[in-house]
Amino acid sequence: MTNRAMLLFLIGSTILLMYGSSKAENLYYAQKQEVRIANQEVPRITAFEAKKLFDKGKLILVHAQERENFETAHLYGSIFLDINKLEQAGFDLPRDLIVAFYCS
Amino acid sequence: METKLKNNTHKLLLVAIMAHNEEKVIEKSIESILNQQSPSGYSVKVIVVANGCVDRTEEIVGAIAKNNSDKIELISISEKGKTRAINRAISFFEDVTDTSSTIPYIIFLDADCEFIGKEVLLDFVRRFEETPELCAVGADCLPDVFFNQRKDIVAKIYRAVYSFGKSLKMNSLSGMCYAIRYDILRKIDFPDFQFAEDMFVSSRLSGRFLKDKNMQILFKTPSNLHDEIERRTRQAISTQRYHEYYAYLKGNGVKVKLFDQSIGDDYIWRGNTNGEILRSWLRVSGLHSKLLIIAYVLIKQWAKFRAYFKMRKLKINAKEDYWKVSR
Repeated sequence: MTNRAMLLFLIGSTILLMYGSSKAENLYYAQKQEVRIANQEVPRITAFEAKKLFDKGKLILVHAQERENFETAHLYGSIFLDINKLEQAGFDLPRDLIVAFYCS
Repeated sequence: METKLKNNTHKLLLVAIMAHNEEKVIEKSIESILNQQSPSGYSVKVIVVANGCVDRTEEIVGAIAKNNSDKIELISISEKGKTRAINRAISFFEDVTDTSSTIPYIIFLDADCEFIGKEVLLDFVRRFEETPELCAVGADCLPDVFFNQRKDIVAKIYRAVYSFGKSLKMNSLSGMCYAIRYDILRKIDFPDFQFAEDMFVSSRLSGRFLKDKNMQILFKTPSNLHDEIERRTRQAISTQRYHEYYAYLKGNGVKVKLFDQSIGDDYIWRGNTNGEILRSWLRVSGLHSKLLIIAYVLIKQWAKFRAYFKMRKLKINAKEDYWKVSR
């Protein structure tokens, strides 16, 4: 009985810890992001919202910097697109999916 | 036609399309080539080798060629097969030009692919000129589902797998689009049967190639699951035939590699694409993405299974010399 209670307590506290830390991280990045916003007209998304949508297949993550920069380091699952070239070729980005650009 | 090529004072940059029943897509592909900026000192020429077409491919190409007679050449052959078409194209160039001086590079583009941007040809030539040891440069291939609204399972699989695939350090040529030095291409004796010619080229070049993300192309994703399985089955057959042919050459004492060593470690990919994609399953946290990766692997395995039985049937029925090479 005691063992079970211990186990339940451990599981419960782990879940609480994970939830709490993710909330704290969310808040940290949200605050950090607020400071950085330069163009208000561009919609923003937090890294955690983006991750959730990406995992559901509703978001495409695009590396917004130079190709050399992409080769050096990029977020796992992101792709490299040269937006100027896309515009030249007349390609539209999908409207039903969120296309999130990020830079480091 | 001969005079047209012989009188050309510029170096020729050839973009070759091997087309087999491509009436739905070939126009866009040719347009994307014609929209490209020409590298200075080069004149760009599109060569379409229509192989075994029974649809309107030749008619469509002919119509475009009428308006661009100096830029497009149509070659028609009755039998299908990409390598057969490449061999035919090489014979054509040998016949009509002093190839060593007028054709430095040739770019292969599949009929269902389009260049992204207008500077792809410039980038290819620049890349070769920057690194003279390079024999071939592959383009970065993106599925069209990144640019459309499709929500079916095939589109979702392609989006997921290509997103993760971009994070793998792969350096392999894709048959969809690669540029190769013409003097090297002439040394690669393609057999006249259908097989994974891109893998064959890669293996012969001993790592003297790279994939460059500066050059991006868009390829058409199969429209449904049935087409996707068919595509993967064709790929699996081609791959299996490549492996068997490679083993056959080595078994007969043929020196398969054109070079003894690669330029450097950065230029060679020693991994296994499927294995790497499967490994990405561990790095993905969302159930949705995990399921898509599993679906991708299952489709590929099912295609391999089908390919095995198709190949078996083919071997039983083969009467002539199975690996006879002719150009």
